[in-house]
Amino acid sequence: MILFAILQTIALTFFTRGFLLSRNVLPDLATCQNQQSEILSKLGKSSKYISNSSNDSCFHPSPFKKTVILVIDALRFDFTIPNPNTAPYLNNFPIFYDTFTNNSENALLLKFLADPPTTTLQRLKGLSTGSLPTFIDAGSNFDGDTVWEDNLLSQFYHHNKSIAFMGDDTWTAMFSPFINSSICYPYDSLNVWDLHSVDNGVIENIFPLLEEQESWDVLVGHFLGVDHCGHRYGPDHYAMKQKLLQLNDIVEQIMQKISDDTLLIVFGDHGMDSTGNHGGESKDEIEAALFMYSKQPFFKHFDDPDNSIYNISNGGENYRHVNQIDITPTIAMLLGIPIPFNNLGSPIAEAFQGDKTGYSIASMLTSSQINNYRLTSNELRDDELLNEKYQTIWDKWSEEILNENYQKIWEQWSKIKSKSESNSLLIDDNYNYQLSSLQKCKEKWANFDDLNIWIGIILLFISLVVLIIYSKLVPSVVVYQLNNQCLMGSFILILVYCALSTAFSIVFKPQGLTINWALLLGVALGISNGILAPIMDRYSLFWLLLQIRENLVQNGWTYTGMLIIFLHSLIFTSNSFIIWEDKIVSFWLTTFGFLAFFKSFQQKEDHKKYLGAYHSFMFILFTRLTSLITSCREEQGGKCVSNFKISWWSIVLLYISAIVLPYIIKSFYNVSYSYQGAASLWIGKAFRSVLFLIAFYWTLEYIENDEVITAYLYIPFTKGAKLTIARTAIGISLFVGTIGWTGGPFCVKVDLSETEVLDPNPSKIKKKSQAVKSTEIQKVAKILGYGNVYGSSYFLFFLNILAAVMLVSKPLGGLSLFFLVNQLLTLFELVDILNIRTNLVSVVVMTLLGYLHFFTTGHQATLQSIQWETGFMFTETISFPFTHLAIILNTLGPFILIAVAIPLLVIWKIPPTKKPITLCSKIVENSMTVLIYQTILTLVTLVMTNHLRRHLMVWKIFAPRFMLNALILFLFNIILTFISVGYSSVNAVLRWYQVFGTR
Amino acid sequence: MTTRRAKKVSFNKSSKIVEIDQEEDLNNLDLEIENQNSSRFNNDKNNESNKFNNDDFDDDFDPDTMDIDLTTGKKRKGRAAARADAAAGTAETDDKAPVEALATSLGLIPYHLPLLLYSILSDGTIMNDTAKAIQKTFFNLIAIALIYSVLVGEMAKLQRNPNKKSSGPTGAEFLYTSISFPISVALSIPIYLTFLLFGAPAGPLNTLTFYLSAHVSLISFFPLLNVYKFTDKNAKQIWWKLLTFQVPNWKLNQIYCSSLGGLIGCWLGVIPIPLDWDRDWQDWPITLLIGSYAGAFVGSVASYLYGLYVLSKFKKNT
Repeated sequence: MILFAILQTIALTFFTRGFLLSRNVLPDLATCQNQQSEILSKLGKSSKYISNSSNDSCFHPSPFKKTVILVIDALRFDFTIPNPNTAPYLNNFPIFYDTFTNNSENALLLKFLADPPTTTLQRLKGLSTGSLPTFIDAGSNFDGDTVWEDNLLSQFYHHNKSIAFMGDDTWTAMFSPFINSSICYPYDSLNVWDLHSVDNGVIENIFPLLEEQESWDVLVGHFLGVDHCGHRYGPDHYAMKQKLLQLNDIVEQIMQKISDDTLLIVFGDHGMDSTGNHGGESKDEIEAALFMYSKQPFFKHFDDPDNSIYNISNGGENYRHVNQIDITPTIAMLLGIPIPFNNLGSPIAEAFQGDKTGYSIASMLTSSQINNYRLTSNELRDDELLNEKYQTIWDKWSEEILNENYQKIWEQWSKIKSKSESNSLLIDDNYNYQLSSLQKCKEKWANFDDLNIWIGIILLFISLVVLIIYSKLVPSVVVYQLNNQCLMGSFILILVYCALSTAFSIVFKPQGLTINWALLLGVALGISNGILAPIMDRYSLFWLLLQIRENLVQNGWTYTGMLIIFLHSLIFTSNSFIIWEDKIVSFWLTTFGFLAFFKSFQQKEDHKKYLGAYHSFMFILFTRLTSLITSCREEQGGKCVSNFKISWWSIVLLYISAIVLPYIIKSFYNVSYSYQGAASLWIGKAFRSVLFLIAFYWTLEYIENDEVITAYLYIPFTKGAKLTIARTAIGISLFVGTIGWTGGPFCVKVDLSETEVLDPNPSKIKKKSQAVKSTEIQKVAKILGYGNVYGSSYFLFFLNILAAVMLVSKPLGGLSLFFLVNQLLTLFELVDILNIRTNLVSVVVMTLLGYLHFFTTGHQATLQSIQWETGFMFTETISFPFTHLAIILNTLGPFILIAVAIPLLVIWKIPPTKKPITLCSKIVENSMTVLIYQTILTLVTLVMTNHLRRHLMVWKIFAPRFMLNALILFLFNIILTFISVGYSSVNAVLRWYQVFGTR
Repeated sequence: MTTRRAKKVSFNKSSKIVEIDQEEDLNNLDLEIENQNSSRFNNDKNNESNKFNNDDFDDDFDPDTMDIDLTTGKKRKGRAAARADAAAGTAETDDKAPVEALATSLGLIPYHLPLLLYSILSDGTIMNDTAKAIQKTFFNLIAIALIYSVLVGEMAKLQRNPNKKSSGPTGAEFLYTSISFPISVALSIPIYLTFLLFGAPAGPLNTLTFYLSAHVSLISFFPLLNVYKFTDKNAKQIWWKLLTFQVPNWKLNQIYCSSLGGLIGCWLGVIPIPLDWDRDWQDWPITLLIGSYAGAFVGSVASYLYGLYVLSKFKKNT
């Protein structure tokens, strides 16, 4: 199984590598000389625009000596403009628009369109380099690497400008070599529960610096409060109002403090959607605000008589917008540094129109820089169409320069622009050129590496075939003998294949397959061949084919399972089905319950009939209730109403479930008289108290965030108390619980019918345990809970994990998990009644339950829906194992639970057997079936994502779904191999023999 | 007319075979027998017999047998247990109330369903005002379903007593139909609840869902009610079997197939809803309505064709 895990991981890595290609980064740095020499030389020596080396500025005399760049994270555009509606996030940031309309020459307010992915790290990269970060970078939001690519900050640094910085520590991670370390004040960025410390830190440090202007040339401040507020409460919350008002005030103060030669730039790096999250590419997420201000009159807006350009109606829907990377050349030229080498943005017109010739020169400079970049880059060089375009611009430019009428250029252009006629003047040509080269690059960098993609797909397919053969076709008795051979064979063949593939890559040097990757490929091939070799040695291919027909299909239930797998794979062919997967999954589960309902009537014994019917009805009911908890993804639109919020009633329900759940489990235990021994301590006391701790934790969380309660009541200790509670609960559930469980609780009780005394000495019981024999002592020993020895003790382990997952799930998620336990228990009873323990369908239904609860614990297959804030339950700052553990438990919790519960399908409600090995092999087989199911799903996503890679929705729907599937597959591999099969079920099954001995 | 009679004969013969088989072989479960019987007809051993193949779960669990089940793919049947069951008389209760099927015939195909469906769709009002249109078609359906059910009832009568010439439905039968009609309308309440459990939207669309369930109940249950009358002797057992899908030879039971088809069609009807084509007909519950109409028709036709197939096999064998 470990081999399978490795094989599949390698397959996934290959695909990921091929699919999520990163952009080639050119290390070149732009310098003044190479950028302007050509263009400006044409201007002639007399020109006042030419710079010489004594002048420290690259562009024409740079209007600004200093700049203050303030980033207000997630400042959506409509926060900043007047809006007739009322909402906590509207009309609370008036300073931009007021200044913009009242002092139009001093200020500029524009809509700022970010490129997806809208995560802060990517945006900062894009902003500073002027290029397009690719999707794969999104994952590295948490360990932002230094940006070595040419960027604004490095240009400032190379031109001896001192950069002061305060705020989000992402900046220091990316740009620390360039920032003046004596005036750098980074603050931890990812603790989204903390709205104020970053902002207060910035405010604390920025005003002293504004007083002593000599110490810096560039001042960067990054406010995180708005973003955190969005993540935590969503935009529609009173905290957002306070935050916006506060920042409004700060910006106003800063505007007064700056000197005359300072340019103030305030912008949001991205927006937020209606739930306050970001990362995708919806309108709300990419629209941010850009505000520029200087004390001297500098900006010149377009003539806007009929209010069509700066149109604030409908939340600024048709307001003039610029691309986010447009700020890069703009800042560079306004401050007289070279435009970063990789820039693809165009200068912002308003910033250069104040000076009559400014814009035409700026725009020409940018075009020349882009051209330079394109010619340097291997992948972009050969686009003749663009090269031609540039050539015409260049010719025109030279011509105009010779006639010295570049002033006229702008005059003509601005006239025509206001009449909005089509024309082919120089500036428009430039602009077109810039836009189309941007477009070309966007297409180019969505390029995929077919070789790696197909290697990934084929490897995963091979792993699927091997899995099926190994787990389903070969009789499980034989598998045990084969295991060692497989392992040995794999090791040997891994070496062989590694050698082969290394040789191959050295000799042929195929593109996109370096030695390291070739080695990985060798390992993968070695594993698959190594497993197949001993099997093929014994059986012929034909025999295996025959086995498919015989073994895979057991009865009608198997067909049902296959049908569901088939339909579930089909889902990935359509974006709409992926969007609605949550509903579809619950529909299937209900269908299973429905079929089980009628199937149980075909049982022969009356009590089974009605029990089966009752359990399947409860199963349906729980499924329906669970699916009432919704957390919509943005594409679901108006047809879905999210109710996944922390509200008072969800807290109350959490308390109720804490009371009820132990009773329910107890009643299920009592069916087989297993509520004995350790069970009452475990379930009745420990589990219940942990549940109450969890409920109490979320109560504190609720109190802390509630507007009404906090207004009247200030509780100082909530933060510390929350941390303590969370740590206690996780400690009990994961560590103490696991250690205790390894010690070996049994849920049986030995009743001696005459003396009624619990006999503590196991050696005596040993003799009497298997049957009710009367020995010479004349006592009859009766073991209560005999019928469910394995299941009842294994379930305790499941409860440990459950408690941990419940802790990190939000209240409604906890409720969903409460239903999960009920569904699982009813499912086990059903499986027992219908006798489908090792049937395909039961495993499929288990996995579907995992999916259902993934959705109902407030997740969706999108990056935005990851609940980052749960990472800070155990620690205040990011610390390696705990933050990550919490986020993983929160996101993939339901799948972890399902993987842990898989062995219960086999061992629930069975008496001890004489052959533990057979039992274990059943468990392994079921685990394998889970893997097969998930592998099929992943394989289909790989194929479909690859097939639809030019689809409009690839990055929004298909790619995140693929990543989720890959993650789940990986997780299933790990959990099933190392925990369910490797540790707990073996432990549970073998324990009986350790205590009671074999016969 | 001649073809129909021929089929009838064939089936009557087959049902005789069933009885003989049952007498001969009491060791196995009666469900099994009936399935064997049907498989004798269609040489289709795998699916059905497995479907009704219930294994006993003994309290003495032995993983070894479980293992064998897996590797051979077949459940081993405890013969002794089956015998015990037969002795205990579970099989006998089944004998008392065999679910008789009507002979498949062209006349049993619900021709009115596609016609009604066409009239709904060609009209176009269902896209604009779903509630009104669905209400209107419901009344149309009532009228036609009443006629259809009387015809079906007649046919059932004819087939049960082939010698007696019927002179049309008697007054009692009309009375029965008029009683069974409100019953099947009332049946729409459990169907409605089932829809809710399956995830039908509760709230503003409640009326539509209820109309849908009324449609489904008229399509799926009303004809059944007229064939298997609740006034019959064994009505309780028969309906129990019908409702728990323990009908032998269900493939030949055209009315039953049509009901099942209606339900399955309804189940399949949800598929287009999530697609983002933005068409009017994707609205709740139009697709389900179409699904159940079409499903009932297709089910009936499929059963008829299957009947023809069995007949030809039967002729070849004799």
